[in-house]
Amino acid sequence: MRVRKINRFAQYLLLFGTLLLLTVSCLLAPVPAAAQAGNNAIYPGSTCCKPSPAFVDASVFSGTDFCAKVYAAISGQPAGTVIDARAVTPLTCTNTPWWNGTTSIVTPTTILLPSGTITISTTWFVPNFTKISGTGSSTVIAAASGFQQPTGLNYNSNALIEMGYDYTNASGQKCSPYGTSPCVCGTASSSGASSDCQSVQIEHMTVDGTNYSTGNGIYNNASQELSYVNDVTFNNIGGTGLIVGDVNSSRNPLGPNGGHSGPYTNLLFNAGSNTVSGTACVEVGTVTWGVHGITCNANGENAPAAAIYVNGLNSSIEDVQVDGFVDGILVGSVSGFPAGNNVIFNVNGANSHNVSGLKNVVHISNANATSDLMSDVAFMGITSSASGVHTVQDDTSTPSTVITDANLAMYMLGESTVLGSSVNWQSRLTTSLSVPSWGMGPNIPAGACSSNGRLFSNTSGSLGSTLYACVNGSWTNIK
Amino acid sequence: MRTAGSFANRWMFAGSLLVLLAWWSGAPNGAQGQQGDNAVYNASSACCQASTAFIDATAFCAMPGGCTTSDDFCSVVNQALKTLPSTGGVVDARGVNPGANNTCVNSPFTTPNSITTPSTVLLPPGPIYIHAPWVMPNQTRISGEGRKTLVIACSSTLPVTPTNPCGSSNFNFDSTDSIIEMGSASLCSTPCTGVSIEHVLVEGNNIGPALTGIYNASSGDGSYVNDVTVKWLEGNGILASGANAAASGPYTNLDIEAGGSGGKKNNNNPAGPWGTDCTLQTTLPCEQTTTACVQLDTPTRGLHGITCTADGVPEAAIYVGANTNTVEDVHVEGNIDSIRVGDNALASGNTANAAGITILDITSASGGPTSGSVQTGIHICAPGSSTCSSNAGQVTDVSVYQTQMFTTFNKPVIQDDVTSTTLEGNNASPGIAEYELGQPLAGGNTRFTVGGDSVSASTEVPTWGVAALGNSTSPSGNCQPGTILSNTTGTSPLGNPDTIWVCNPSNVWKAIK
Repeated sequence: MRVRKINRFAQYLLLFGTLLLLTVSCLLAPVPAAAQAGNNAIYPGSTCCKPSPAFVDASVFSGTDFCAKVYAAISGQPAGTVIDARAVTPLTCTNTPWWNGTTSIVTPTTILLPSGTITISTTWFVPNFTKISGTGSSTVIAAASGFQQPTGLNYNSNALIEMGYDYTNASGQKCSPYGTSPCVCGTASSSGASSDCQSVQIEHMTVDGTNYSTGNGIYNNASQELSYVNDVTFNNIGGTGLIVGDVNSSRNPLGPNGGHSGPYTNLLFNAGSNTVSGTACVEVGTVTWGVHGITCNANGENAPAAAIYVNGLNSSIEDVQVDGFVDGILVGSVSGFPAGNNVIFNVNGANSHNVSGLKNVVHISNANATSDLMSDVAFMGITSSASGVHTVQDDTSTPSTVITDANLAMYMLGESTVLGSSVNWQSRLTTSLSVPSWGMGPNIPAGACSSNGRLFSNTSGSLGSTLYACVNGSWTNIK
Repeated sequence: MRTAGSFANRWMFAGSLLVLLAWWSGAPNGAQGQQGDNAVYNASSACCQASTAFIDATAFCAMPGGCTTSDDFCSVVNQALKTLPSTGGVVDARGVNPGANNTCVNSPFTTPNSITTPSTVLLPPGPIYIHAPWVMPNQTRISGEGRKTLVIACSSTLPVTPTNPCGSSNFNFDSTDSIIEMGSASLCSTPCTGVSIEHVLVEGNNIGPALTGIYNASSGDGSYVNDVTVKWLEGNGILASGANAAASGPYTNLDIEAGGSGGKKNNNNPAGPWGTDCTLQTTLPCEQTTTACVQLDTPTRGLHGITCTADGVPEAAIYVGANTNTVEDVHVEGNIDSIRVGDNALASGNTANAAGITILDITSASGGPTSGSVQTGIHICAPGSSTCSSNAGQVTDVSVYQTQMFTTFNKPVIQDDVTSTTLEGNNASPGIAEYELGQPLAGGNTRFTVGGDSVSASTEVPTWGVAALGNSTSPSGNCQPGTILSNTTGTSPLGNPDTIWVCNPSNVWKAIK
């Protein structure tokens, strides 16, 4: 009897000890600190782990699709939070990262997008102070079949992505067109909203319009300083890859905006099966910090009219490769919109995809030829690797000035107004041999000459043999 | 019965051990790591193993992983920096009170540890109120979350509600009067390299008449500033000066607001003590005549993409006071000169010679209700210029491509004191396609201009024109003496020249050939 009691006591002791050990283990083991969903785990010391809000991983949030989960991750975060959505699935969107079908949010964030194709059903309006950044061209924002803009807009961007808000509500404020939201940027209002969106940034991704044949890629008619697009590829866009300052009144009766945005850098446009004559790489209709570094490829049989349209003042367009478009860069083609004071340099045109679409590397339209709306442009380093094309065609003169040199150092066009009065000539300077230019050398020019009015300075000349002009096909001594 | 009870007890014991074993195996395994290491799953897919890919600064808060505004931000970052290997690394401070008021008594690179290790420091969103300048060591990069990361110079009278996070002490100026310094002479015996600042807003709060946002006198190659906003400073937004800052840059994508909207010193708090209208100059400090957005007083890789606004008081938005600089894609409002070449706003005796300057795509505007007026677009100084400082130096070889003026009244788009040339413009006139100033020649200068002479108040500058006038039409309208015109369809029959025309001193066209 005693032995049995002892055995039972030992058993209870063993059981109690086990439970005690379990309890102590629970108490001594690392205990997860209070954390918010999506926090990263870090070592607070030598043992793991504590939460860190350095960024929010959106993959742990609930939602029916990619945008719903990102929306949930943004909600409640402080402005400026980094939302890491690189592990979020599935890669489809019914709504947008800033609209859940009912409510819009405008919290500024940086959103890291995953590799893979995110199919979107409606336009993404990127809020004020927001950056979206992919992993490179492998992050694809693609229009879903049946893609459509929100209804009720007072313009029609037809774009997959808009930078800021160009939508004007009933109170005259610029807001997200989705649901109700604070009007954080746009036209100044009595509410104290700022006058424009700023710091809307898009980087490292591809925009694909395959399922939206008439659509545009990225549209900026609202965001200004520090708003830019960098390292973005546009595939199979039937409309225009990038629109900055929209001068197309049928698309946008509000007029161009988005001034002083940019630079728009490191862009690649590949036309595809959606290509029509109006397909374009870029439209610039306002003052910008420039388009720097772009390749525009049109490979189809029906060459689009132009790769880059410039219908605004004061932009620098540099480091450009255009292929297969009729015009590489078309300047001043919309009547009534000033297109002067643009500097364009390091542009090469080509027909390298078995097509012969390219006619002019840079083309100045005559749409504003009768006014100084089209004046003061500077072209430098314009070249063509295609045969039989014009490096520059300037339709502001009558007849058009055509430069066929394969390589052109400089073409400067001034004005047709001098000291307050209109004149019947233009100030112009070029290094081309196709038109009057100014040459020099240690000799008297010999033989026949072309380009009536060309000048030549003989650096070894003496009185009566120093300055010559090409007159009626012959070199004639001036002085 | 006894057998059954014993069996049950043994099973209870075995079960308890099994639960304990299972719990142990499912719990974090407690693999050793260093403070701030990231936690990642190990090769056996078990959590967690330490990774030194970056050091999370939240581990160095008083309550690791649970930072509060009682933690000194810079001290936390400093302790994280101290753990980096000598080859450098990344400190991720984005989780230190994101969105809340962080404060710093000292620099993250000085206290409690002196830091010289190369590093990248990721800053959190929200304001960081600092009492001491940040002097960045060699090969150090700081990167924020755009305009939502604010580095703010402290003031005891800072109007922040409900409490001023700066307390009763002000920002402690050092000899450079700046908020952030890119290297220093004491940190680098030769120029520092790879010092860069990105994606932040630097705010001066108008606390001193000469405060500079970002100061670079010590960092050269690979040292740049990108995507930065600077607000409310009376010194310089960015100052790059001295031989050790040569080859620094580019300085890109900048928005520098000296005066803020409407000439107010602090538009975020118009009712506060700094809401006084600076245009009245009734309280100090307001913008000074020497306030500038950018000064390039050393050869750099250029300034590309900037908007600069002020209230109309500063003498110039951008000074180019050294050789070999490029200034591109500029928008200026509310400064007397948009770009001043061959001058600086440094102490007297710093002569600003400048040659080999390329300037393109410049827009100058009077801002109406949002900023002050502008008087001159590009101003090229000469020694003794009455509208430049005593530091004005020799200027040669300047190329300008595309500059335009948007003002109601005629204002100089270019004022060239070297050749006494003024080309004017206004809202309705076009700008200038090209203006090239070369070198002194026979009492004049080599120079060429295309465009820019459409306004009657402009200096008459000879140019070269073309037209297809045929053999029966003369050039019409005004002409500037010395201008040459080539008639591309002239025939110049014997005794009747019509191909080459020259504008004579009486502003009349004469056919010469």
